[in-house]
Amino acid sequence: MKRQILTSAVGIITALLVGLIIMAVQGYPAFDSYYQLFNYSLFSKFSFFSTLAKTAPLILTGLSAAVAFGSNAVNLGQVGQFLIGGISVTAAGLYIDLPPVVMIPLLIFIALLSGALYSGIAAWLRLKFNMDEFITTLMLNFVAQYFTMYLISGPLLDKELFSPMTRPINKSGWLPDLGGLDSTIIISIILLIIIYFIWHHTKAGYEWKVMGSNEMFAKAGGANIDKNYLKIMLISGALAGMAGAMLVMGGVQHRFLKGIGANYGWDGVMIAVVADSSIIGTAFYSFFFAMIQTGAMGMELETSVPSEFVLILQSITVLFVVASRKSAHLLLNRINILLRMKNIKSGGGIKEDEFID
Amino acid sequence: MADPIISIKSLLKIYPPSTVAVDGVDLVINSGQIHAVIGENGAGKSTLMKVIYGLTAKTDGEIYINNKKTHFSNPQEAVNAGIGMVHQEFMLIPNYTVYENVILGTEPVGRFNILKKEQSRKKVRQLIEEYNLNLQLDSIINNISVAAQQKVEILKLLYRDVNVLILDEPTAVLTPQEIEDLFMRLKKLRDEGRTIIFISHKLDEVLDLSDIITVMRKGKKITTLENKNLSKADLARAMIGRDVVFTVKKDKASPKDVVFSVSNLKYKNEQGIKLLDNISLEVRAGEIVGVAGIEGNGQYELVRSIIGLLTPDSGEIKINDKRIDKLNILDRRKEMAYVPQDRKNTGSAQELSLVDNSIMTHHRINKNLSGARDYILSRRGARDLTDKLINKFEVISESKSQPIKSLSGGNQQRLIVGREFMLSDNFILLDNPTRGLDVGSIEFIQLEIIKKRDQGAAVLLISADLDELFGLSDRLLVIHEGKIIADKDPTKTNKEEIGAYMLGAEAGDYR
Amino acid sequence: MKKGFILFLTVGLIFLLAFSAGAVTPQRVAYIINGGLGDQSFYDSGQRGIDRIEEEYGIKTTTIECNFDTAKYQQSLQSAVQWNADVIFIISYGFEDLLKQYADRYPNKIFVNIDTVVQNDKNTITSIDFIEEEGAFMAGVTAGIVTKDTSLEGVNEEKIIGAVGGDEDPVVNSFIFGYEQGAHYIDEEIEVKTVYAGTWTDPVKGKQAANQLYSQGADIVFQIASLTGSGVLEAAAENGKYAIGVDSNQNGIQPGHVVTSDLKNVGDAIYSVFETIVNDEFEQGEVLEYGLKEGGVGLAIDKYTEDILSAEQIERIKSINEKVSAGEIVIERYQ
Repeated sequence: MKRQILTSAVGIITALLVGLIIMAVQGYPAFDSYYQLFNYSLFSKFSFFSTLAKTAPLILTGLSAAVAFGSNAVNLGQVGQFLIGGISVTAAGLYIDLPPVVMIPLLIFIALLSGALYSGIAAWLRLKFNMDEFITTLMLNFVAQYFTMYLISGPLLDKELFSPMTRPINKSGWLPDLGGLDSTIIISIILLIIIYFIWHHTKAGYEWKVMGSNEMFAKAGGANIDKNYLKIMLISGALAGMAGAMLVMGGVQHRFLKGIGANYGWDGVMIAVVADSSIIGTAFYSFFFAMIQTGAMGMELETSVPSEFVLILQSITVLFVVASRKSAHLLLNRINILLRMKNIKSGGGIKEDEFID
Repeated sequence: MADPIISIKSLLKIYPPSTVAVDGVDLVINSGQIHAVIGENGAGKSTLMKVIYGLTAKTDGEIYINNKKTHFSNPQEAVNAGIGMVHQEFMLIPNYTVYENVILGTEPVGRFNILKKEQSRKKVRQLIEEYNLNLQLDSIINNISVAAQQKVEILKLLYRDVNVLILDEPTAVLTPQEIEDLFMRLKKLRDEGRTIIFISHKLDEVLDLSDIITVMRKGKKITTLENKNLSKADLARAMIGRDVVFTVKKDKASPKDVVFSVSNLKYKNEQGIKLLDNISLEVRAGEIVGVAGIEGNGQYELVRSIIGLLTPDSGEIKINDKRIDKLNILDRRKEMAYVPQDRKNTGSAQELSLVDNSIMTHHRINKNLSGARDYILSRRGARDLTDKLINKFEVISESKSQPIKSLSGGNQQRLIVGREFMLSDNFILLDNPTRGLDVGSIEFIQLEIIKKRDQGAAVLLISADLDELFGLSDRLLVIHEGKIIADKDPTKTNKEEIGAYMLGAEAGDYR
Repeated sequence: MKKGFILFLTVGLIFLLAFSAGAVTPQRVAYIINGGLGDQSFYDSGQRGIDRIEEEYGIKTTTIECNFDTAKYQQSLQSAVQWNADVIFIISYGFEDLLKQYADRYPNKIFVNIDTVVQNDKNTITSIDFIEEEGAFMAGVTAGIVTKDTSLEGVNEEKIIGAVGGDEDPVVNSFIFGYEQGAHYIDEEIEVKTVYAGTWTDPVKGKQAANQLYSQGADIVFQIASLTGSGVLEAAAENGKYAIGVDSNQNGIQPGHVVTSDLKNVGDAIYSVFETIVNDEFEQGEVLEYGLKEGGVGLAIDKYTEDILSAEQIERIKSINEKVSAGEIVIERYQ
């Protein structure tokens, strides 16, 4: 755990340093740019709140990927599940109108359910026909994209407006605005706690973790692999579906519009990879990525560093965190070997129980 | 008379994090000889060869080929320098023909990149005739026997005109006749002036075939002897390191009721080969039944059928008169302990902590591991169980949360055996439980097995180690080509007799 | 002597600073667009207005491109506010709701929404609304003249003209509405056929739509479809027919086939609104209409036009244009 945090921190710091050099080489004021990046994402109430608003869906798509990857299930369908969750909640929110105390839980339920059902298709195809979910989840992304595009430019189109989007959902389904703070972050944190609990404190979570490390061991130990796999895929899809619903229920637009949630799906996958599928790590990186994405535009305004620079920063982070995880490992092994060689050469010999072949 | 073709100086190979596989070995291989390298499992023979062949990097030391300091970074370089290796697992493409496999990677091309097929076919055909290999150029690899596949591997090397052939346990997969055939061929190759390095742990074969014998033990070279007036006992002593193979003390068994039984178990694989051919056996409470056999004769399938990872075509498996062959794995595990042969792939999750590796299966059975609700895992219960395991099975570790892979093999296996032994006193299935371990751990685990027997457990022990089988078994079965062909009292037989059965001798053939 | 000069300079500078601090001239202007620059049309036209403001008033301006990335919509507004922009010009297609929220939250900032009318609760958003009907009316007039002049190469007997819209939305419908009126001003019998491509970014679809219209007998097609429309212009050249461009001057893209273009002078509108702010004539929450008279919309008549139409025809178009500007011809608005 400690080692995990250490290598992550080393990765992030190295990435920021490399970013610094890149900016300096290009002739930009590097330190000021970083200051502005954080200034526009942390140092004022509303900028901090908008970082949190961006963090909320990222946590969920990140968890969606982390839960899947951490249990050896491949769900790359966050994009599709996200859209399906969003459009389902939109449709429900347009045609159902109940008091908020009923409406909001109902919509959340619909979001989780629709996302789960959508990833459930891929799970079913795998269990029934042994179709690789790597392919099916990706393909289902396209299906969801075309399907939602059809709905918002056809049956659900708001004819009053100038680009494809639905009407706003009924007010009763809007998540409350807490003095400028989007309450979606609260839902994300609640779900984060639930997933953390499942992962670390339930028998199913234990089996998933083992499946992620060595499926054969779990199987021989009596874990029902298929059943667990199905549960994981459903949970993973539900989380991504909820992320999509957040963009409709939270924020200010309350509509499903063309291009909604552009990168949240893939960013989630990236976050899970960087976090090595750890639950806490996912929350941590979600915030980090949300922060630099939020600050990017401000940085561009103040120091003219193109906001696309944060994409470079993200990529470097991924590379360095993943690489440093591996290389820290290799380095420690290397040191170990050197110490042992010294020991052998100095005639210290080897303990009997160190032989493994 | 002979010149050194390969010489090795203080070669060291450490596998991360700290496994010393080859420990400062000096070795000279002379040309034109058959040089056997023998040792038990885990003695470092294969690793030594892999280092020479460029398959894995050395940690320290020097290698000279033809008196020139050399370092191969991949097998291709070794082959180019005239050194080839036939691995235990063949590197053939199953749905290519013999000819295609032989020329793969060295396809002769003429102008315009057109395959010059006729010329190369002629060369391959000549080689087959010259060495009397009895192969058809256009047979598909999948359709020919294992022995023939091995011949293809050798043919591949001959086609590349290698001077030194390294064969890693080539006889493990062969029948006695095939072995004889192979040896004849190897001798012919030697007589032509080629050098052969032959890795084995079978003493008879080594004495039969080689000119020079090097014995390895625990990563070290013990001795190199000329094959003159050597006896098996001499070699065994060098290999094992003491005159008498140690045996754990045990009292005479007092078997009671039948606990575990298999009847008429049959299984054919996709190619229609009978891997389990009507197997029936019984294990009583308070007895250890050993199963001997050359690897690949159905042991693997038998174990997998019992545990539930493989569905046999027919037959019954019972524990205490209850059929278990239709149950799911978890329900079977409630009735039995199981120590798999590969602790890395089946016995543990290497990346996870000792706690995570200790509670497997217990978490669904042991009430102490449930929290407030049945689906909740009690962390305290998990830690307590792990502590108990570590204490009782003397697992040397720094903390419960370290990953199991940071333990030595012996300690990993103690934890795994401990986990399983705490699961069930009823029926215990052991698949090579001490393979590749240090002596201390072997002894410890074997004593625990006997303790379990004395407490009334029925134990089925499958092992490739005859010493272990003789040391532990109260009854000894031999499996050959999916059949149980012998059922012996270990005190009334000997290794030679069992060995003969393992090779498929009929009852009564022996002497 | 030297010292005196420096003193003079310093005093002058202080005076200047004090004066400018008291003036109403905004110091920072932001231009937020939902799309991206480089379209050689709508967004670029706006940018020219912003550049002119920066040049002539010497103040700081910035442009925030969202590139149709929904994730950037809120960020763009948040950043502009935090950057302390005094005036924010914004093309807010797709994030009107966000614009309203920010305008309500920051009532002292000037938000000028371009091309559509957006009204927030506190009624602080000023909208620049182009009277598309007037520009489109002139396009209709031109199309009517073309389809009736069978002496022009490629023009048939039938009096059919066409239009290709990107999508069926209120802005496109306003264009069509004005276009029809213009054509009928020339001749009541002219038939107007309309096809919606369903996309703003696919020239191939635009070409298909135009081909369809030409095969139905249309002599000239008005494109109201952004990038999709470049396919319309191409189809005109391939069929030996005529087309009318939109938003910016597209006459030269297919010489001899693009008769004229219905311009939308976003830059001029931005500049003139800024002038009113500086001159303290600006009122928050107004809807500013830019039609022919204000120069917000209008036809591009240049040498390419002269190569196709006769001097008399051009003269006729110009005189109708004047009548519309003068209010002699009243054009009905859509909605």
